[in-house]
Amino acid sequence: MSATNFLDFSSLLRNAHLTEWIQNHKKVIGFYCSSIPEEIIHAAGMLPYRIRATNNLNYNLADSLLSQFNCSYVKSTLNLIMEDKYNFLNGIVIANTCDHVRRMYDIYKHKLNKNSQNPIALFFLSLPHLFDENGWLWVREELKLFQEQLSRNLNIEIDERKIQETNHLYKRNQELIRKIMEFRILPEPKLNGVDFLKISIANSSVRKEYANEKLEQLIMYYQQDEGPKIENVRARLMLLGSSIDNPAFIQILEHHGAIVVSDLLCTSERWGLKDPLWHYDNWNSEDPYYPIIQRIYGDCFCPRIMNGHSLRMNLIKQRIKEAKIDGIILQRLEFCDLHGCENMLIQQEMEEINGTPILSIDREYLLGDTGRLRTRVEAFLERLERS
Amino acid sequence: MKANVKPVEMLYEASQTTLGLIEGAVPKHEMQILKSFFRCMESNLRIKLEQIAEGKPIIGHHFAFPSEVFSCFDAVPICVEAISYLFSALFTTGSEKYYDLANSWGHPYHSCTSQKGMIGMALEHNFIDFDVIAIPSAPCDNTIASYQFFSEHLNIPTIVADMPYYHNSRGYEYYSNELESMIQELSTILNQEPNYERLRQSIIYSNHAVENLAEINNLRRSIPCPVESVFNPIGSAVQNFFSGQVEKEIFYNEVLEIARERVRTKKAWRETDERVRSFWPYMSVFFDITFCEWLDRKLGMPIVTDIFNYFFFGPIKNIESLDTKGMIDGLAYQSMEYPMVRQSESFASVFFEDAVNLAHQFSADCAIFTAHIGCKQSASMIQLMREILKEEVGIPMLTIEMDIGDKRMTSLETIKKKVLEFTQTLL
Ligand code: SF4
Ligand code: SF4
Repeated sequence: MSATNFLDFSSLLRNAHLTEWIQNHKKVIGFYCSSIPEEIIHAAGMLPYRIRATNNLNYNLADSLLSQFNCSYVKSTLNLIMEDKYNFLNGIVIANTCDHVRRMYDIYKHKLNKNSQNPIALFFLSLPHLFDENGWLWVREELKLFQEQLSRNLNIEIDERKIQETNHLYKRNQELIRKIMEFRILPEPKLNGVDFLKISIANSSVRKEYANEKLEQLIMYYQQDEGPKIENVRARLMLLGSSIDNPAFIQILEHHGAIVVSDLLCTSERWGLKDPLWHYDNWNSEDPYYPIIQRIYGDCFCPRIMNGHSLRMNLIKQRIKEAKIDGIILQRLEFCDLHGCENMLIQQEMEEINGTPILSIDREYLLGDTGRLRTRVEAFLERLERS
Repeated sequence: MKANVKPVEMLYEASQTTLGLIEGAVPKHEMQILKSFFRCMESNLRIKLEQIAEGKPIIGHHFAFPSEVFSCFDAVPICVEAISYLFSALFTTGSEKYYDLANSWGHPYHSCTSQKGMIGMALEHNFIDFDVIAIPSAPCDNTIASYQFFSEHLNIPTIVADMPYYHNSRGYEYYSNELESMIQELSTILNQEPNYERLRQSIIYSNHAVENLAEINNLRRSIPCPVESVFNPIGSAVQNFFSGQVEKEIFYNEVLEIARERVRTKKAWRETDERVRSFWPYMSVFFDITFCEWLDRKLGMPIVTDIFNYFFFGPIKNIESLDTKGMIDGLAYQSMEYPMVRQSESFASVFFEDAVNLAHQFSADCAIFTAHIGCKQSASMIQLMREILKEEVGIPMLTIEMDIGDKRMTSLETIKKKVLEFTQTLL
């Protein structure tokens, strides 16, 4: 199998690794957001799988439970769940990350599990909306409780040594992703935004031992002198906003010769952040939970953290410099209030203070009118060329 | 320099005018609840404006917040969401101009109008000069996201009390600590020592209000319902605007007297018979309070209760002797069980259980759910709510998609038409 075959894992819900895993009667736990302690699931010998809406075609089933005011990404995942496409899950972990995602817990509890012959295990984490010491200590307790619940419900032993080992594996995984991010920002990038998203998605759908092997192969592939490179880049774009798991959307943005060289999306580059976004001063290096808390909480780039806006802005500005960004695409899924309001602030600050040109896009998960979007992107690129 | 409080001044003038109009033109025994509200409103705003003119600092706060805590300070609390919605209820074009300004500045059209109104006012420099803003991290993404406009764009010092998702002893304790830290931060920003005896007095007012509302709700279970439907949108404003202040106690006291008298004398207060008792598991319509008159008088369909007008908690006990920690613990508990916070910020089981209990207790014949475009956390639960009310109470539910603070999304005519068609299926 060539290194780039790993990218194809993003186009299917059931990839080859997952299929083999299930055949070996091993368990899979689904989750929605980056703020879920995958490491504990992994340490328990299970496969943490990030739920996505890949290949969903309509909202016919989900519409019977959700309203027209719900995020179409979450709606698409529900549609797939109701079509039984996620019947490989043994459990699901949800947190209070956004109003749409958190209600999936209730939908499972009050509807999907009730109607199912094989109800799945449900777990919930309450995560703070502020960066501070109280929040850090609360998350630590949450992790401990989650670990206990996971052990109890699925009858699995999880010891701290296993968590330490998993932390190393996850740290390595983040380093590898970071390395690939470096290939994105070269003057002649080795890969485009579409491929980086595919890698990120594949990375969140397999066990990390397997992922690390594949990422190392990919790094070797990109490192070769005769390896791929993208020349004559028309514009270097940064992509921000709501969750994206569909490479076809980025393909439209890159269609005209532009390249998305950085994105800071929760489904993508946030996994490979170089520096902590917010850091707890009394760090205890012996505590196996600390690196997990740092990743899911201290590095939470999401606008759900109410005192994190200036930290997020600093990171965006830093990435603009590192990746030599020409323009920003701010996109919002309809009814996503968190990113909608954050985009408003980013737009005002970046355009007025920083002078970075911005294209603002509202979209639905299912790509409908791509012609209009292409035209807007083309016009934006022309604007960048003139400036 | 005099603080800018134009929106409060405008509301004060509107309250004076409306009070004058209804007291002058409406017979004494009619619209008593509305009159009581405007009397309290007029007095509350007048006092607030006087205090601001004396130079007292202004604390902006969120509706889902125990504003009793602000009484620790010599300051004037003003509820952000109540301002937007009182504008939409009292002025012909409501807060529309401000919504449009906020939208054109980039605030998403689907984000809640309760904060959007104030964002628009700020953009027009027709704002309130808050010295500080104090809010919880609940109950919705709109609260979390929209308030960052005030803290980041306007640079108003903003203190957030982080509310955990679990409404249990661990959650209450965490939140109590958050409130305690907030008081300390407020003390630093306002440069005042907290006065906990004033806090006690404020809780005493609130305790009476809690007791009176419980009694009002007992009476509202009578058939026919002795309280006008307008009590519901007005009650929401009372909760949020008068919280921790004497006007809340006064208002509920007056309503209680009215309700007692009506139940005692069994005297009808409207010409139309009560035909259908409607229970609103979520909010009522805020942008036009005449809608409630229409429900009562034209349809004989009182709103027996809604999410904002039922407290699932009692008064804070032993208030006279409680120490500071005890008072703050009590407020932390109450505010996590506050109307809408309780149902919207945590697991939906509570929302469903409350709705089933209230529908039973108030002998509801049907339910009407206002699917407010802002509230995504409730939008996801509407279909399940419909099924649960059908299965467990046996009543049908109508859903109306709207913006409770902006008549342009779904007009009053359309809402009335939907309600009318629905009642026809019931009778
Ligand atoms: S896109 Fe926005 S609304 Fe949708 S799941 Fe992500 S944060 Fe939630
Ligand atoms: S009305 Fe809904 S969206 Fe608006 S602030 Fe309240 S809970 Fe949030």
